[in-house]
Amino acid sequence: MPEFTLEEVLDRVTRGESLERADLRELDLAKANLDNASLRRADLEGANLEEASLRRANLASASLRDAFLVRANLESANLRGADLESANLEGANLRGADLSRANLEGANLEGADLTAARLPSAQLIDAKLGVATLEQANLANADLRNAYLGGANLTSADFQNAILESANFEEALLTGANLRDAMLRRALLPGADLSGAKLERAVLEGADLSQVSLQDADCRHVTFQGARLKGAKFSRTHLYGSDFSIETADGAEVDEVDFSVAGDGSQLIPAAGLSAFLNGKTDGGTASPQVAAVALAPTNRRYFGHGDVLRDASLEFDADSIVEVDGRFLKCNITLGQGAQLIIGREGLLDGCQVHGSGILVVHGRFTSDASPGINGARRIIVGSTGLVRATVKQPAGHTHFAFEPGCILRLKTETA
Amino acid sequence: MAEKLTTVEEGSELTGTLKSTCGVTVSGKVSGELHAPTLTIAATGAVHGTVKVEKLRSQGELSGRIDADTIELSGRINDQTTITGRSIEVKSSNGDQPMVIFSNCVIEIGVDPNEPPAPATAPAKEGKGKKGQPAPEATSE
Repeated sequence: MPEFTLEEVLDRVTRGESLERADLRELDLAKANLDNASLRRADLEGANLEEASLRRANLASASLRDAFLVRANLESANLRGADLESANLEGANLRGADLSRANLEGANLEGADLTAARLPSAQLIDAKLGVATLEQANLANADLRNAYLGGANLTSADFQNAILESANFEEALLTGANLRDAMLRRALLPGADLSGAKLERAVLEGADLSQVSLQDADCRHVTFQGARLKGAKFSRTHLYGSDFSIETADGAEVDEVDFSVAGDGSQLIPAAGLSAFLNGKTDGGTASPQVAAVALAPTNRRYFGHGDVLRDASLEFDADSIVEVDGRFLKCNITLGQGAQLIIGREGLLDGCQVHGSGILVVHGRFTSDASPGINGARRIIVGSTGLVRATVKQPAGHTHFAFEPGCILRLKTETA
Repeated sequence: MAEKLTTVEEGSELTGTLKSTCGVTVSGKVSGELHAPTLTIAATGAVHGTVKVEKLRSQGELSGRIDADTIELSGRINDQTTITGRSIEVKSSNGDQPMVIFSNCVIEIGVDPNEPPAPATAPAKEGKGKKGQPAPEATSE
């Protein structure tokens, strides 16, 4: 039995009295006006809140498991850390609501309006978000494994670092969305519009990208391995550092694509010249070993994640391999084979290490070394806008090819052979 | 009205100090000291010495002490060159030749958040006057 009746609840809300921690389980509050109500930590499990008005209500850490919130108005409500597992929020208004770290596992949000809602680190596993509006919503670090987002409007939504494994985005609108570092392994995106989306370092292994539009999308350092790309449209797509190759692009509609480090369109390759380019030659017949390394050896790839720490290790990476480091390498001795690519991710740190060999070093994180030289013989050193390099570089005969993006921090000493 | 520019044309050589309140374009050679809001060095240009500008764009040859807010580089940076600045851009090369060749150089760009701050300058010795007031001037009898 709930602690209060409907009338008592309405009376308290009208008088501005708190219902914090109140036991309101299974209570029928359909169409009730609960605007601005203080329901923090209240127990509303299984409650009926159909078409209830809860604008700006404080429901932080409340339990709304299995609650019926169809067409409820939760605009600007505080639902931080609320438990909404298996709740029915079909057609609910959640514009500007704060659902940070909320549990929405298995919740039904079909057709809900979540414009500019905050859902960072929310749990949305198996949630149903078909045709929902999530324009400019913040879903950074959220977990949406197996969630359904078919036909959803996700324009300019922020999915940075989100887990989107096996999520279904069929026909979804993802224009301008931020999917940097997102995990999209085996995600289903047929017909989705990813024009202008930012997918840097996203993992799309085994994803279904058939008929997607990737026009102007930033796919630098994206993993496409095993992805289905039939009918996918690549036009002015930025692909530097990705494992995009003729094989992976089989069946895709490729217009001109960009291989510039900065993703600024300064290295556009037309479709006609793509095959030659990916095999190490530009139209002018000059070699392009950096891209060739990426394109020809997509499987020779190693990844060291956030929690990985290597200390005093000696590492040797074969020619043309791709090594990505988001963890920490301390005082390691690294040898890069011809054309091998060592990519230090934004969170990655190489401290006190020495890198030898004729490889390619791409730094988005930090490389600091007091050794002289800290980098010996690198063919290319590319420092992204978030990169920091403090080292002495001993160049090979023929010089190192440097590329620096504005925003990088450098304390470099360069030495010639 | 077109923007005023100081130009050192190809075939011209200037030795000494060049201070300008408008932008400077060098297609020839400048040796010495150069102060200007912007400096553009063409592929045929060379600047050797001390450079202090807000914006530097070089496709030519540089050496000496280079200090600029924003730097866009290609071309060649000679031995014993120190480049300091707030922001740098060097585009990736597409062929066998690097966009920029650095010889034995020092490059210091941006603020490293992990670097200890520069030591504070020693406080000036207080005069005989009260704090905040100038010391009384010596008077002759």
